[in-house]
Amino acid sequence: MFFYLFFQIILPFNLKEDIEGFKKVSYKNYNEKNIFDYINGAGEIYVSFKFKNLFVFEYKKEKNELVVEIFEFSKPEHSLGIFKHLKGSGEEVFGIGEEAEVFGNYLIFWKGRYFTSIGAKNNISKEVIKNFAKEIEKNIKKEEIKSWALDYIKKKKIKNFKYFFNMNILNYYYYFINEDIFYFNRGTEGIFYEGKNGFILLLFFENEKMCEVALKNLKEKFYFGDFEIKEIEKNKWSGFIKKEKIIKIFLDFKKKEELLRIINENR
Amino acid sequence: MKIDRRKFLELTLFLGFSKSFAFSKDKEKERVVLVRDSELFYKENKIAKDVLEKMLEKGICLLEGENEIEIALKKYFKKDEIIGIKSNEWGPLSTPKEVEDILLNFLLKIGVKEENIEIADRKVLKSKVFQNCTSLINVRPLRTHHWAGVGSLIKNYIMFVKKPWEYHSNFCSNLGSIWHFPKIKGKTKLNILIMFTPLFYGLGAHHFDEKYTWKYCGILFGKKPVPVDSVGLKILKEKRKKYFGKEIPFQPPPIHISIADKIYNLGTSNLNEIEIIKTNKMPDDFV
Repeated sequence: MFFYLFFQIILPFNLKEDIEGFKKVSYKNYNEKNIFDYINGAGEIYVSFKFKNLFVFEYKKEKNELVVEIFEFSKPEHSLGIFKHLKGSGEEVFGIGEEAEVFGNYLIFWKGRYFTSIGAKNNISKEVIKNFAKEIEKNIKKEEIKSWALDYIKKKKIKNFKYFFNMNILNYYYYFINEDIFYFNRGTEGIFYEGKNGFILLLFFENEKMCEVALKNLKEKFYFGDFEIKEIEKNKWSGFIKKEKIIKIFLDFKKKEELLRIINENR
Repeated sequence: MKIDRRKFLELTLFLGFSKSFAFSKDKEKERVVLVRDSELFYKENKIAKDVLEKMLEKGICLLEGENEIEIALKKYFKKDEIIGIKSNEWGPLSTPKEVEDILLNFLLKIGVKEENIEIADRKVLKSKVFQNCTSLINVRPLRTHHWAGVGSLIKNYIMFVKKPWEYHSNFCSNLGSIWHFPKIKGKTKLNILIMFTPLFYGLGAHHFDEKYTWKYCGILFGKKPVPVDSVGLKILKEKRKKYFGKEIPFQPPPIHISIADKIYNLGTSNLNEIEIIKTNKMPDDFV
């Protein structure tokens, strides 16, 4: 009883005992050190996005169960990042959090510094899951994002992108090398998305000096050498440009002319 | 180990996806046995234990070219041995208890003492049997994995390290190194990959959706983990192609399998160098 009350006090928010007729039956808390006890190897994803705490609530109603996982991050940018990473080709849901998606028996959303996943066992209707999510998000405060990378991409009106700040995660989307050549450990932010003719990687650096050194690393370790454009793999052209504290890398274009055109547009 | 992009792509290519690699005709192929039975499940998805027992017997016997299970087992194990059965307890798709029970009974039948056998997953480091074992049996279901590409036989030994997360970097590329630890090296006599209802695609935070499993009703057997994992990978790949109507690359690609081949010598990942023996042919073997 004491521990139950203790956790209720220290929780940044409190989920009701009863939501949509489902009763809360358990609560568990995990952090970076013991996340693997809960999620196994896939916990590495959350560690890469620098999660701080995981709160797991189980709800039951007769034979139906819902598991609510609320991941706390240090900044709203991080919860946005994990959402974009896990987002699939499910149905977009409006009116829940900043962004939400439902696929199969799962609904995920992000709001403020929290990313929430609601998983249903047995056949629970999407409406029930959505109502559950709406009830949960009432407990979560909206927070302003302070990231120039995300401001930049918002101005470009690109919606489907990945946001990250870790070489492991960049390699997940497009493998470069198992070294932090872009200084993610010193505050670099990355945006990755698929354009019409290839992939685009945008790297935002803390300062211009770091940007220059990262560019040198890119040229040496990603085969460009002295060239701005190169056929890195057969029939796949890649190129880059640097603009102040940003490096834009264009990857795997099928036509050299198209790549040249994009690079010139971006100068 | 430094892996740049070209090395990464080379390792991906080695994942048995391409049959274009030549192999030496003098080199003996590594044997993998595939056993399937359409009657493995009966009402409400329960496992028919008698059918399963015959499948396990058949697979182990065929691997050794024997007709009787006790004779085949005695080629691997002596009765005074201490044997660990390294299982897998991942919630949505764990090693079925029926498999564990049958393997235990097989060992008891050939005279291994019960107190010298243990079945475990996460508790292996705390187990006296595992810490002092003379032989290991490695058994787990195959599935896709959000960070390693697939949950494979090679990956199953990650619980033999105190800090498994230290082996997560670069998509778990160094998992093969665990197999060379002094307490493990050379002790694995059997690798058994459970293919009853493999997970062929993963989505979401927990990566599991029953929609992406199917009743393959099979078991793969081999002496080394890489050939068995490679055949399993091929099956998943073909299933994905059939389900989605096109090739869907694994993300990330399970390079830990090709590294286990090229660097850690745990068997071949080249399908041209693997002899696949099949029994009870069912449709859509995919190999």
